[in-house]
Amino acid sequence: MPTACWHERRLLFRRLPALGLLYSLMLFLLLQLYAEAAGKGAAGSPENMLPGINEISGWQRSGASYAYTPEKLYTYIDGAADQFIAYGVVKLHGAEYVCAADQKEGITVDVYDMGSALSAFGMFTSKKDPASAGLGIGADSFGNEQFSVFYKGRFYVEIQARITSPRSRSVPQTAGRMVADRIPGGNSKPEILGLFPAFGHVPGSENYMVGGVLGHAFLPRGIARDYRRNQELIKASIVLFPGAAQAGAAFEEYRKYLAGAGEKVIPRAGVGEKSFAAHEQYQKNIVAALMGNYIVCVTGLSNVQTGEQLAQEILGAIQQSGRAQVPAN
Amino acid sequence: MKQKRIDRRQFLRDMSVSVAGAGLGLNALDAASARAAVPAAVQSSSPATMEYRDLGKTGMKVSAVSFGVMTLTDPAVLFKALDRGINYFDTAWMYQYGKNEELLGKVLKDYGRKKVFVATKIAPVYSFRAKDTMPMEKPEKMEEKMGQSLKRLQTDYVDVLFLHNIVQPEWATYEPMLKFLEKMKKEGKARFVGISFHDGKTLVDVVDAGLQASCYDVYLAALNFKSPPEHVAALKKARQKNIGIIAMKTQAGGYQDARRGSLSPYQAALSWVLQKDFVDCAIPGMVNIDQVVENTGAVGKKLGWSERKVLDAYYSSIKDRYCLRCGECRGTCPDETAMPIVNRALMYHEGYGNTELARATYQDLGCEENARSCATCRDRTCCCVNGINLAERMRYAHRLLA
Repeated sequence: MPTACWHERRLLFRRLPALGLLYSLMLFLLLQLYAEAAGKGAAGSPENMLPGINEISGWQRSGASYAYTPEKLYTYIDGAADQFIAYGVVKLHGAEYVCAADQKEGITVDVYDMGSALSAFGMFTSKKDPASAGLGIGADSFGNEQFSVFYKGRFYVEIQARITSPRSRSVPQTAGRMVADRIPGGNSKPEILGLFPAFGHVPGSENYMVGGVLGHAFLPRGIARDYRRNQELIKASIVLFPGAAQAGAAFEEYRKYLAGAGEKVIPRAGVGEKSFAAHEQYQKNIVAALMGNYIVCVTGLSNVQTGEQLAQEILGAIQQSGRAQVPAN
Repeated sequence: MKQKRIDRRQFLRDMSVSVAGAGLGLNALDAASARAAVPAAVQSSSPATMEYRDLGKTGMKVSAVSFGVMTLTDPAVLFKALDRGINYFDTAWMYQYGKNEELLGKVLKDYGRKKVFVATKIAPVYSFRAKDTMPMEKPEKMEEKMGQSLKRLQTDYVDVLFLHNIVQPEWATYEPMLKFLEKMKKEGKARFVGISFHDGKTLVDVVDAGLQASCYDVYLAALNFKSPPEHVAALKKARQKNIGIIAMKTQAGGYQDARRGSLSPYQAALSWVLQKDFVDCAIPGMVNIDQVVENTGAVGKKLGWSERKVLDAYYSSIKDRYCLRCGECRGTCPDETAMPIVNRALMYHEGYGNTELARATYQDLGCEENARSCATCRDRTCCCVNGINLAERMRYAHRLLA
């Protein structure tokens, strides 16, 4: 027995360098994985998207960066916080920067993590005047020398400035581009916008609404776009649901709502899985159609056929995209 | 056994209806007819009965339930509100970068500007961050913003112009701002002026500072059934000095899934506010027609004995989970669990039905701050001054949201 023990120990000692090498290798790999994960986290964190202390030429960060969760957002932007909360803001990170030559000039950079690309888009479109020109920052942007606003991915960014001298006029946009460059991913808009046909659309009229599409709580969220067709201004809305059952239930509720209001609800054949045309108070004539997880509504119509045509185009796009049964998000 | 739920509208129908004598009238406005090409025949519900109250000393008779336009995107909701007798609309220069004012302006142009009252708000400081150090806005800048607001609202005047979000008492007495307000009044751009505020820590001081300034006609203040008595007393005092009192944030994050009773939390919360004799009107934010119908449905209803019992039950059902965010619990957990944030995450799930946001909020906390350690904690030193069983709530949150 003592001989065997000695033998085992000798073997162990012989293997030690090899084991050590193996353990070192494993440790190295683990560290690599950790570093990669940490790197990814840093890249996706709004705090790290802010320009560095002296990164903006001639300007410097004033004080530490700050962060607000939805709960405390009121203390920062008062009632405007409600809009962010409605769109599902997760966190705001921001910082202030002042001009080294003139401390009275400053900018505030606020990066809102909206949780999803659609929410960031919604927040952006809720504020953008359709007629305002883009600045070429992120997926879409607007502003002037006193502020820049853009969104990219799931981030919505506002840069407010107090600029008095001509030399500083470009600073808000420079800062905006710095932030945009650090947000991972491309500058594409939410894919779901591709379901809307291009013909006759009013540029910049796209919107993502939460809380009640067409003012109805049973149509909780959706995207909309204005169209000029047959010489009238109409609105197409795609209402999003997590599943076909919820969409079906909401469609039925819509029908009942209109019938309950004394409207004649006329079923239409060949438009989606189910559809109807009706008049709705405040919305003129409407066409509503169900397909999978979506309800498509066209409103503001004088002529129902115009609405049916547009609804058909959108339903066709939904079918082609294979999204009809995919939970909308 | 599952308790039978009573339909809340049925409940309200059954409620003893107390009609406040003075100022009550049938709504005679018809918004649908004001919108071109919209026949007025269709009314989805019976015409609303709205109560109108004097707004302080202004002489304005405003609808008890008025409208915080703030987050609205569909004009149909405004038309519905007009049809339900709402005649006071609150917006702000900063809401949606002015789109909010534009939306309201378009609707009121169709409907008739002079039939309603419009209030807007402009912040007297450049930014709300770092409140102690932020420079005050220049009066000329305020005038510029006022011009923009009027243009967006398609009107020559607003009925009330508020200095927005007064957090520091000295902002309410800042001389250049008072001069700006006086000028706006003199030029006819604002019929009346006021301040808006909701910061719990400074509310009482701001009320007093506003009274000192003796130029304000209206206060727009946060008030709900969870407001501390000192806030209630301060606003009451202001009303006694003839300041019009408008309540905001009236719902206190109203829970939609009240476990007991069938009273809509929104209606209950609104009724609570409207029954305060010093409140002239409330401006709940509304984004859909259902909310307009629900909120205006609370007008003229008084809570009788049996309804109060239901309301008490409602309070009881939420008080063990409704976090007042006083922050007093911080420091009572040796593991430094971020209890106010965990509670907020739970509120998103339970109150707003937004589990996605609840999870995102919870998961945003690191392992150091989330409630992971609560699952095995035996110390239970955590303590809520308002009686929330934090230990249980933290465990529940971790199970639900981790």
